[in-house]
Amino acid sequence: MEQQPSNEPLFELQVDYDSGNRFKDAANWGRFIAIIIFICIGFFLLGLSFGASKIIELMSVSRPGIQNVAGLFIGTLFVLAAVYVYIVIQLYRFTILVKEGIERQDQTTFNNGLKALRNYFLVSGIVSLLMIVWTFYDTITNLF
Amino acid sequence: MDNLNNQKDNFFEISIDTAARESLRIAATWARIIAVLGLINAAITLIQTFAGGAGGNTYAFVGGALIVMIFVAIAVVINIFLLRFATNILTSLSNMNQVQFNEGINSLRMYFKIVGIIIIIVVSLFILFILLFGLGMSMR
Repeated sequence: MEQQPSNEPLFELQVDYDSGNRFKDAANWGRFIAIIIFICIGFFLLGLSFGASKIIELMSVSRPGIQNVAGLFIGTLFVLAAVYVYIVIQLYRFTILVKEGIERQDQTTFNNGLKALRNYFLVSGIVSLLMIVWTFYDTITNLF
Repeated sequence: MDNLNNQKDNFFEISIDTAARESLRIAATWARIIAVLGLINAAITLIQTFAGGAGGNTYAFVGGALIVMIFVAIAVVINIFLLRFATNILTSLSNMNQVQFNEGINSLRMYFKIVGIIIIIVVSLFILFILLFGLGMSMR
């Protein structure tokens, strides 16, 4: 029986001593960032829950008419906070799983960590794209 | 010495298999998009600052421009590391270059490290501000 040609490369990249240590160091810093951002989102949600009317009042000085869409604006901020919670959870999962995968030499755990890193960058990228589109739209509508 | 060698060899049990490669490819592609958008944003911020001009108050403009330039410089450094991570990982995945792959992971490490250090500075300044504000209020 003839062997089917494979698309798999002959040699695979390895998580060697250098990259292993770098992954672990990245994971340590990533975990620190995730925890701090998580705390910040907590404070943001607390402020939003108890000071929504004050935020609208302050914003109405620079953007008159925002009171008419106050509910929508506050709702959008809650949705944004929920998206950031998801992003931070993915970053935290990456840090835990990649480190654990390397220390326990578990390929599945390591791969799950990389999947979390993929989700982290994917959702962050989509949010960044939406933000820059919004910035351009806001600048153009302010100009004309 | 043997212990160190065993420790070194242990790392080789994990490889970048098909699943890991696919995750890294998508992560690096989006990281590149984020980095490019970040650099564009930094350029726009710089242009907006200098296009506005000094107006009446030159000192306020210089002070403001200096702060903006510091923020822009930090944003550029962070996004360059992110871009380097994306470029090195994408290239290493296509030509199976271990050295380039390690460089990519090092850039990711540096990216997280710089962001972490900036967070430490910002949080420290925030706490200092709160303490000074509290002290000022209590002395009134």
